[in-house]
Amino acid sequence: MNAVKSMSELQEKLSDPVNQWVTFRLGDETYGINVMQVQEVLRIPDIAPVPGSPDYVIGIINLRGNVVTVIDTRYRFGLASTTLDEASRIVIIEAEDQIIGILVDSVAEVVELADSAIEAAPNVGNDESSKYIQGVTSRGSQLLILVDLNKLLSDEELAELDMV
Amino acid sequence: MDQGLALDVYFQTLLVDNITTREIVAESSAKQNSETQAINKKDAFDEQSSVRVGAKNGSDRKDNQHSDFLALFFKVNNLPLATPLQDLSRTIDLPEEIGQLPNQPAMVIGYIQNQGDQVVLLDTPFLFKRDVRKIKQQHDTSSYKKALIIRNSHWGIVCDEVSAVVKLEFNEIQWRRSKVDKPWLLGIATDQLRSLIDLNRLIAHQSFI
Repeated sequence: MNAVKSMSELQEKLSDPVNQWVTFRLGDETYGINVMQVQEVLRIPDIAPVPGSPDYVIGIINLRGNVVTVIDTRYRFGLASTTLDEASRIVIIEAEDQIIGILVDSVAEVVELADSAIEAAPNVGNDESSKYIQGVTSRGSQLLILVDLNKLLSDEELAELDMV
Repeated sequence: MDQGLALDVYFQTLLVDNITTREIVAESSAKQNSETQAINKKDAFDEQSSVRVGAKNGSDRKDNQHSDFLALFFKVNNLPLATPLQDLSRTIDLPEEIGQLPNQPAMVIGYIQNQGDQVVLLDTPFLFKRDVRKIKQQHDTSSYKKALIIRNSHWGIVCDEVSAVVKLEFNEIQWRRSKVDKPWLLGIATDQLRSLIDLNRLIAHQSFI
């Protein structure tokens, strides 16, 4: 009996996989990114600007001897800029084999979500953001917006970030 | 210590480096007998008297050469930059009077006479060619205090400050692999997080030249 129950639970899990998501805040909204793409989360170090860089690039940081480009996620999401504070963080991610940092207001928690809990994002006529919004889900009274990091930047934009 | 003498001593220390031939012209106003003092490479690069430095074979420098080189650290509108020292003729204080050319492009600040040369001064942020409109809106030229004169040319670029001359090792630079976009950006000095700029390519990249 227990073996049957375990088998059915396993089948249920296989048909509805559960993934972990790192959630972060930008303004009043909470976003999630797949934990498998997150390498680490940093407090804000010195960020040096780079001449001729796109508007969505804040600058570069030195991460254990490697230069990492930092993206202004607020700018990328069409939000007004804000001043950095103690809660601000840089999330180091891997997108299309490239390591970049994304600046966020704060990092919240890691949550588990089953695929079945994720709904398609409503179409608000914004083609730009719909490219990288993977879906949405409700967490209590709050909406969690899931971001596809591989689509946050286009191939051309990723190539532009390649400093080496 | 007399600043001219300090500059002399500094350049004497450069002579013992692995740079082949240097032509040093120091225009100190007075020389005094004083004790020799080693100049820490992190000290501010004081060029109250302008100094002309040239390297014999510098024009043949190849990108990513696997050797140490001297770089000048400078800052433009809070943007920390570096450039190979051998690409420079001299650094000068910006004079109060800068001549204006008729219909000069936005990136041209004006022209000056310096050491018998006519030098056209370029507004450095405009050379990086992003949103020129935004540059014009946010532009503050009041911070410019110095100019870097490019060797064997009549071009100079302006900057806020010149902070140091530093010897960089090849491995200390994260070199750019692709230079299709921004060919003047050689790489990043990793420890100092400074963009390493090829000034000759930066000038050549401008459409009006």
